[in-house]
Amino acid sequence: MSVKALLLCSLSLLTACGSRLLSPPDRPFHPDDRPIEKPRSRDPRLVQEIIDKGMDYQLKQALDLPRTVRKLTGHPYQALDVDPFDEAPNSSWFTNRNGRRPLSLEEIHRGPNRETGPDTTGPWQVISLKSAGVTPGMTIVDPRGHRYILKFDPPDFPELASGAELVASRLFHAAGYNVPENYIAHLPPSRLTVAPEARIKIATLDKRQPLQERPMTREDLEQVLRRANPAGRERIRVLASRFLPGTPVGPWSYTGTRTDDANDIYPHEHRRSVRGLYVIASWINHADMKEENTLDMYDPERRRLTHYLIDFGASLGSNSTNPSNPRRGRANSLDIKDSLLRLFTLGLYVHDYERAPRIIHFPSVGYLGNDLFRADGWKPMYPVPAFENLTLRDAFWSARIVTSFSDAQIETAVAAGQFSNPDAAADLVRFLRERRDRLGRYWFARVNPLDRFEPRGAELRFADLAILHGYADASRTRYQYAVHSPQDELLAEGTSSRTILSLEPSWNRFDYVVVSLLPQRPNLDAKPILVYLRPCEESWTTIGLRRFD
Amino acid sequence: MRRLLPSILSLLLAIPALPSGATPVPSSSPPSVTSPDRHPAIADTLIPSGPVRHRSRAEEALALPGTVLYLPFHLVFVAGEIAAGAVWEERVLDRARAWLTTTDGRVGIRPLASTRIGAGAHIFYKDLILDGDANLVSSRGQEKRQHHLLTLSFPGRPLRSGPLGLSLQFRQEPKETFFGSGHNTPRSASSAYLQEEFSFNITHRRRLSRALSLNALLGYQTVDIGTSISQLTPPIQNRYLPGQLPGLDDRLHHLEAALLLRALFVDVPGSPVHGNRSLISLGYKRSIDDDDFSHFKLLIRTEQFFELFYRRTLSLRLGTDWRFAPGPDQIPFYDLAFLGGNEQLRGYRRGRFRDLGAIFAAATYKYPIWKLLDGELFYETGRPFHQPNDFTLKGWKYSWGAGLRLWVPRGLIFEQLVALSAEETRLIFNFKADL
Repeated sequence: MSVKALLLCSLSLLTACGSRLLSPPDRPFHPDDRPIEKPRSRDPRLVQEIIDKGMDYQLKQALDLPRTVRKLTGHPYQALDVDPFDEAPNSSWFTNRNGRRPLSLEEIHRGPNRETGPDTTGPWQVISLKSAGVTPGMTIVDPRGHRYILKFDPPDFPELASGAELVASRLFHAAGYNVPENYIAHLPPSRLTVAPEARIKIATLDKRQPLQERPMTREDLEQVLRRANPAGRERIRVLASRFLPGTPVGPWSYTGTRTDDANDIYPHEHRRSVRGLYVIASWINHADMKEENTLDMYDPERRRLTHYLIDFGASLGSNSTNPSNPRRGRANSLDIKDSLLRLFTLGLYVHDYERAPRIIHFPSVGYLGNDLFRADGWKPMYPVPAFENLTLRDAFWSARIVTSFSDAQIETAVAAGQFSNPDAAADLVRFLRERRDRLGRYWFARVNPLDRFEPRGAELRFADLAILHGYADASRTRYQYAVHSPQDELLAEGTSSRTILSLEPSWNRFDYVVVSLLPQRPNLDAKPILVYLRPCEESWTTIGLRRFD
Repeated sequence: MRRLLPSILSLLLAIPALPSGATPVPSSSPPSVTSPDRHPAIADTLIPSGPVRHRSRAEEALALPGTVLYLPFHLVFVAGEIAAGAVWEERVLDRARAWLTTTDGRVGIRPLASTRIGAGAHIFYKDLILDGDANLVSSRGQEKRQHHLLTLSFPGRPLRSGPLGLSLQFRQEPKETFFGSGHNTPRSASSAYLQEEFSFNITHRRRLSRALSLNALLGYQTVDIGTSISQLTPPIQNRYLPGQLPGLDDRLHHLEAALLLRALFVDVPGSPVHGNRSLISLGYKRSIDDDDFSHFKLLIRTEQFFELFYRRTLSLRLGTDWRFAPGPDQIPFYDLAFLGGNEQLRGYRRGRFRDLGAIFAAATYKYPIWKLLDGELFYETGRPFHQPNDFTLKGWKYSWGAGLRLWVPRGLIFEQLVALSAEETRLIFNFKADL
């Protein structure tokens, strides 16, 4: 595309696109900390979620004419919970952390943890057992009275699930999401005692009868320990996940709002922080994104909800009970599209994940193949409606968070997983770095990657994230700019190779000016970004910006 | 057109960023914009009382026809969710099974559904004598099939558990069909008969290795052929004169001895990709009166699986079935080797071709659709023979079809096939829940 054409494109957004763009975005932000009554507890079922989100919602979307037309014409529904800077402000869902300000390595390592883990100075009282499910587990109370859920690694793959959970929770927390405090503990089985009030539910021979509750015995505990520790090791590595503060009121949904939460005003599929989770989850390969792996906690004192992501045991190279595989992240568990393709081609169509070998170098970190990873082709195990509403702007927002993680930060997060084999940890670091860079390269080539606009005196400084992270060549990049008054008067235009734009002092006669910026370089398919600047004493202040899909 | 569409949309739906081409109108006063984590001061009064809409009312109106169209499907999905929730979460099947069984699990009834034996019920009584089972299977299928089977076995399920088993069985098939003997019997030559069979068997099972097992059987059997209750097919007694069809006029009594060697060298029994499964059975039935109906039975089946690519599997199945009568002895017509039914030459109905021998071959292409769901295409051919020397490549019958099979590693759960032949199209449905 020629310079002239780019300039025309840039200007067309201002002139031909109507007066609306000459005004800065006016998006009132609504805080979500109003006191509310405790909402009813939700209890969604996985099988219902699969039908609801995998079939019902898909058909509803397909028959939604305005949505379809919008998608076809490149005007998808944008996220609602963004501020005038196209950012997701802090809320009960999301807190701007590494994407806004680089966290220190100590902060990354600590993650959400506020203490050092369960108190090991005394016995841990077991109050409930989880013998069903893919992994055994139990709930304990430590001598300080803090409750933890203990999860065990699969015996054949020590460190796999606990390591994945630790690392993923650190990364999600640093990205800005609410996650539980997770700790690694090395537990001598003798430390566990059965709490006097502990009870257990067991099935009777007569299946017509409900589960029968009786006091828990040491033998019940031993049974679970035998499953978790068949080799009878003296110390078992466990993941101790501290109970979240407040009262659980069930998972949050990937669609709609909670009708009994007055603060929940943005449909979840139109929340930036939920849509953007796609890119972050694809980075961490957290494919097990069912609603059961989310949780709303009600704080009775502050009388508000906090929305959490929980259970990351099936992320990175782990599949909870065994290593992951090439299919994970490439297809839904019940992928109707893939299945129909195979059905009607009589199996002659072979998906790439079917061809890929499952090579596991280190059992403790599982399958870490990146060959099939596609930034826009990653799929969670279950369809997530919010991800289907992802726009380029959402993707840019979350890609910026992902690429904000430095190599050192990734190494620190992986170190939190306490892998005994340093080579395994290094392989996991390599996995995360490769995916981070692929995500950055992909998304920053599709959305205008200019960011961090800072007026300083008579200059507007900005950063080109693609160049900053080494995904683009600075020497082959030029920045096309145009400055307009609110009345659409062209004040300046030109190209520059620097990420600094001079602002004329005479422009402060306007209420504000609109700066249009478009980087030019090979393989970049982006639209201009509009930055709204208001004169402020001797300098300027940014009052909004618009990105375009 | 691509440029015009957004304009049209803008006018209709008030979508932002629409190219109108009009002169921009200056904004008199840019609104105060803020974000709490940058500028903490913000008024609570801004908070809307309900959910924020993601589109205009005009768009909602445009979406209405789609919503109306979607509603019936939505109801179906909701019903599906309730049903699936009932099965998985409320354990409806488990509970139904429990309700159909006594508290101690000894006596129960189970529904049956299969194109092989029709729809009916299976009643069982365990611990008949110490560890025995009594089973009554009774079903009514299409006009051609009915099936009543009473089995008393000791210990329960003798072929599955325990090396030695005793079983007592009464089987009644009131609507069996006979089309004549030979490969060219016309379909119009069909006749119906009632077969009642009583047998007492002693079985011994020995596992030779992980993949090989040997079954030995010693039994007594008596068979009586009567008049069918079928209203559509003429009774066999009208078509054949007394003495014309071996076994039609007499109640036959046999002693039977048989050996069955079974080999299972496959990777996943529910959906093999590699390996072979075979069986060979040799039996001898001896008349215990002077009816001269003693004969040998030989049955061989082998199926080899080849992975073509990425779990797409080709299997080749070969089988043969022979009856040999020494000297002047004859083979009862109902004991002849046959083709047609749910296992070989599936495009023809059960027992369509009968003779002293039968040979058949099948090629099946199986491909994965989902983790536990396979698609399958098959092509089969077979021909009955009067004796091995008659072997010829002429007159073979063909059948082909396709289907779906749902499986678990231990075995097949459900199979739905469409099988076609020159004579008819058959829908075959098998549900094997009892794995």
